[in-house]
Amino acid sequence: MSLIKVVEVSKSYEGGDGVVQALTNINLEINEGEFLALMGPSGSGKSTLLSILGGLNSPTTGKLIIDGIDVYALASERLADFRHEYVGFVFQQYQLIPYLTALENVMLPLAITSRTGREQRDMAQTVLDKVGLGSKSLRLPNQLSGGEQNRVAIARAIVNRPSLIFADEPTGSLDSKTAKELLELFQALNQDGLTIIMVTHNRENLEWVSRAVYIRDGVLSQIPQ
Amino acid sequence: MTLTDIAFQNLRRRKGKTFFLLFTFILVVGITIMLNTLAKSMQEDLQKSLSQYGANVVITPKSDHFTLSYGGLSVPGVDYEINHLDYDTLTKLNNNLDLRLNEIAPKIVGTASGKINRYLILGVDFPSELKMKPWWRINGQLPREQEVIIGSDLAQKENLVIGDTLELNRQSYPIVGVMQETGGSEDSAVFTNFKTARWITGIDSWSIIELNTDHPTQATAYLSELLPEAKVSEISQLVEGAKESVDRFSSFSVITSILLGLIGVLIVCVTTTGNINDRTTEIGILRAIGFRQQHILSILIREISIISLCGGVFGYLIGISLPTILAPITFQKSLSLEFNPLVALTVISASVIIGVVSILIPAQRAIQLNPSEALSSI
Repeated sequence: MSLIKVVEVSKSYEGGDGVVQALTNINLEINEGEFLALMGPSGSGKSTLLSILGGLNSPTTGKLIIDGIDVYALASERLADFRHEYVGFVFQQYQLIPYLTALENVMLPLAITSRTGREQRDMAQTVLDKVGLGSKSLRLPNQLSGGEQNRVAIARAIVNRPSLIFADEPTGSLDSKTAKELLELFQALNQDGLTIIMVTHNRENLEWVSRAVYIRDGVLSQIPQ
Repeated sequence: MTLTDIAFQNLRRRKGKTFFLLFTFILVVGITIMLNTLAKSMQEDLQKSLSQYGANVVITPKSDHFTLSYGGLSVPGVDYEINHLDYDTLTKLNNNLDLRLNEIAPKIVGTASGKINRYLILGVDFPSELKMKPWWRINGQLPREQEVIIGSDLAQKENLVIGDTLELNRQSYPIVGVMQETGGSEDSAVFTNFKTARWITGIDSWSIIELNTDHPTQATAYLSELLPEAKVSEISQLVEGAKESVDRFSSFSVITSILLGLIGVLIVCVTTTGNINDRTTEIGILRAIGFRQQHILSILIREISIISLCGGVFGYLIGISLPTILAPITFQKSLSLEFNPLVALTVISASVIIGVVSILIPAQRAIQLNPSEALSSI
C-alpha cells in the first residue's frame, strides 16, 4: 500500500549564478513498511528530496501526498503538527540540542503533547534502552561518541511513534562497525513496521534496504535489486 | 518536560551566555537606578543648599505704612518705630514642628541718635543669624552686653575702627567688631545683642522674625492663620531662584535617564538579537521535530522573561545599594538605602517588557525560517 506519493515534484532556487534546478519532475511512490535508500553523488539533490518528503521544504511545483494528506497544502502550523505526528528525522550531524541530556533530547517531541512528565520520561527511557543507551541517558551530547549521538537522534525520531523515519547520511561520519550497528537498528525498526527513507552515497548500505532509488542532477531513476 | 523546562535547561546549562545576558540587564537597570538615585539625592542637596541660607519667610507686624527694603529684598510692613510682635510669637513658632523650620532669626529693629546722625540699630541673636547668613563676616569679635559692631559703610564714613566708641542716645558703646561689606543695608547698621538693643531703642518686642523653612509656601499659608496679628511674607525671589535651579537639574536628570535607558534598550536588543541568531539551527531542529512557531516563541519569551526578571530584580537592588557605597566616596555624603516598592515594580516590569520586546523581531524572523534553511545539514 502506497504511504507516500510524490507527484511531478520540481524544486528550483535562486543561486549565485541564477536559478538552480535542484529537482526535476520527480515521481515516486513509497509503500508502507519499506526501507528505501535514496542514493546519488554529492549535490545531486537527494537531501533536497528528503527535506521535501519530510515536510521541511516545499517544492516549487508538484505534490506530496502522505497517508492521503496533501502535505504542502497544509498551513504552516498544521504542517508542523503533521511532522510531529507522522515524521521522525535523523540528521547527518545528529542535530541534538546541546544543552539537553540524551534523555531530555529524546523527550523533546513529547514536550508538546499532553503526556505527563513521568510518562514522557518513561517513554524516552524505554526508547533509549531500545537503542542501547539506557545507561547514558543523563549525559549531554558532547559527552557521547558520534555513534552514541546518532542513536540518541534515532531514539528522538521514534519516541513519538511516527509512521516515517527520514535519515540523512546517518552512517556518513561513523566507522564501519558503528555504521553496521546503526543499520541493524534501522532494520529492526523497519521490521517493527516503520517506513524508513535513508539518504546514502555508500553502495554497501544497499544490502540493508528493501529498495533503492538513484538521483543524479535532480532526476530520479530506479536501481534494480 | 514542558516548554518552561526547556527554557530553564538552556539558561542553566549555557552559563556563559546566560550570565552575559543577565549581566547586560543588571548593568542597564543597575546603572539607570543608581544614577537616578544619585541624581535625586543631588537634587535634594541642591534644593537644600539653595534654600537653607537666607530667610525665605519673613514675619512682620501688620502695618499700613510703606515698605522698607531689608537685605536687598522687599519686606513689606517694617517700620522702624511702629507696631511690633509679641515675644509669644517666637514661642508659637518654636513649638510648631509642622513648619519644618531650619532656622529662626528674630530681630529688634530700631533707631538711635548719634552725635550727628541717626543710626539703624539691629538687635540680633548672632548664632542663629550667622547660620542663616553665612556671608556675614565680622572682623573683631561678637558683641557682649553694652558692646556693638558696625557695618563697613558706617565704619568708613565715620572713620570708626575696632576699639573706638559709638555714641547712641547719649551713651557710648565700645565697637568690638566691623562687619565686612555685604552690599546690603547691613553695611550702614549697628549690631548688638537683644538686651543691649532693647536698652538703646527702648523696644521690648520683636520687630521682624526671619525664618528659613523647607516649604516656604506652605509655611507662609500656615503662619498667616497661626499669627493673625502678623503679616507673613514669602521672599519669592529666593524661592523662585532655588526652584528654577532645582527644576533645571531635575530636567537634566530626566533627560540623562531617558538617554541611558535608550542606550540600555539598544544594548539589550543587540545582545538578544545575537543570541537568537546563534540559535537558528536549534530552532530549525525544533521546527523539524514538529514544534509550532508559537511553541518556539513561547520558549524564547520564557527564557528572556526569566533573565530580564532576574536582571531587573538584581539590577534594582544593586542600583539602590551602590549609591550608599559610592556617595560617601564621590560626594562626601552618606545615603541611606531606600526601597520604593512602586519604583521597584515599575523598573522590573520595564526590564521584562524591554526584554520581551527586544526578542520579538529576531525571534519572529528565526521561527519563520524554513526548517531546511535553518538546518545546515538538510
